[in-house]
Amino acid sequence: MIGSQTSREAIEMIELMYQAGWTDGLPVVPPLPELVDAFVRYVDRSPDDLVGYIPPLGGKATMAKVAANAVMAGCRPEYMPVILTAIDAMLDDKFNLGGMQCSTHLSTPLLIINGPIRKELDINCGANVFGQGWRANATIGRAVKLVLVNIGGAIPGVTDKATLGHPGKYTYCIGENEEESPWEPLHVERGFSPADSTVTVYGSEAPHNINNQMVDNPFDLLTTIGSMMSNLGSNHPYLMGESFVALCPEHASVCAANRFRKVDVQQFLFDNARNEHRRLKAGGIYGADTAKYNTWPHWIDRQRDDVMVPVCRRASDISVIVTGGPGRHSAYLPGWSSRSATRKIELARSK
Amino acid sequence: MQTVTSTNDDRKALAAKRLAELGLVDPVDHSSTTLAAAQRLESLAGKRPGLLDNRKGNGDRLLERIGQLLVDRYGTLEPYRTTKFIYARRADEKILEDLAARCDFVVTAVGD
Repeated sequence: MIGSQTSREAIEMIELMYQAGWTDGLPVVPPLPELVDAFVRYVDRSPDDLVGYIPPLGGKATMAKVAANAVMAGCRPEYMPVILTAIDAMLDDKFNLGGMQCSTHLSTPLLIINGPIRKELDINCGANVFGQGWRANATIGRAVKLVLVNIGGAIPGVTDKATLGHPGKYTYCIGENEEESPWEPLHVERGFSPADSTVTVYGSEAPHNINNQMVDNPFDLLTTIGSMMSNLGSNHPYLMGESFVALCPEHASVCAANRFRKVDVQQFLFDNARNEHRRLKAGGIYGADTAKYNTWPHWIDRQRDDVMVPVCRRASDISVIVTGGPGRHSAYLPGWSSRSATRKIELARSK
Repeated sequence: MQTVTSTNDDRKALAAKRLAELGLVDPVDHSSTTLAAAQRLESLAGKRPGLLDNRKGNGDRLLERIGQLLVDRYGTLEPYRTTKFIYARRADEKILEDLAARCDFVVTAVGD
């Protein structure tokens, strides 16, 4: 009832949670014990069960602590398996979570959800996929970010040294639009069954929009995307590594209609998203001395200024997903010194 | 600055205490914030410094200068120098063990 003792107490809790430093700057739902218990019970676990130690400070993530953060984020209990799987994936050593959370670079874990669970939980894979409006996307992503700060100890400006950060540090969770993709989805490409549901975590910058509305052939389309990928500002022209391209369904269909498979898209981008060696000396990470501390593959001739340097070591380092709604905008998702990790969601369901 | 920090900490602790009284589950892990720093050296004179270069631009130049100042001003022994494979990842255990075995203290630096 409005104005009741209970509602006043709830408002007091919300204010106190700000003061206690529990929030990301937006209001959170009070983690009442009965709510936390329901989240823990949903995955058939005990409150003290260990989920893992979260970098950068190695905070101990128990089931109850993770559930408390999920409650605060506004989740439903049935989101817990996705959140726990995402945490497990982020703890994969190749993901380099500790480095990512402390770096001056602005990357942050992006969750990409595949499989039937997208429909079961109403995870948005269509219009405005990176934007607001879907509870599952917004709160699953937010729960993971709260865990990283409240349990991992990645405190902005203290242990999290990001110069700028980006809005994905509040929440960053999308589904792949498998139904409108002409190709096999990401998780199948990575060895899972189409009937499996998976979480892929990827350390990502904010999406960089790629507008090409008139294109009717993959060559022009992928030239546009390759141009975005070879921008000097991202890490990849210097450090290479893995990056993601999120094709909208219409752009993907332009490729598929011209017999481009996913591997052809990757190969074209690998061959064309390049910079002349002399251009890389303008700055970025190495400065004029590109040879010093350089981790490029040996087949790139560092002695020649006119050699074309790719943005990754091999075509398969460009991961391609199909997501979003109608329209002709795709996105490039530059990454960081991290490799993405995919895990199957296999935790216990409610009985 | 010290006062501001301590006021904030007090305020946080008070709020957390009140939330506990209200019965909420604490979402924060406090064990990670209680990690203690290593014992400080009383003097640097005659001690062996380690310089850990993280391979990021300019870090080596900064460390070189620091190493020189340590010898000239504080009378340390000649620094032992080593390098991480890449700055973005934590140092390999072997590098840390090597530093611990050879050095009395270690300096690392970002030269951005």
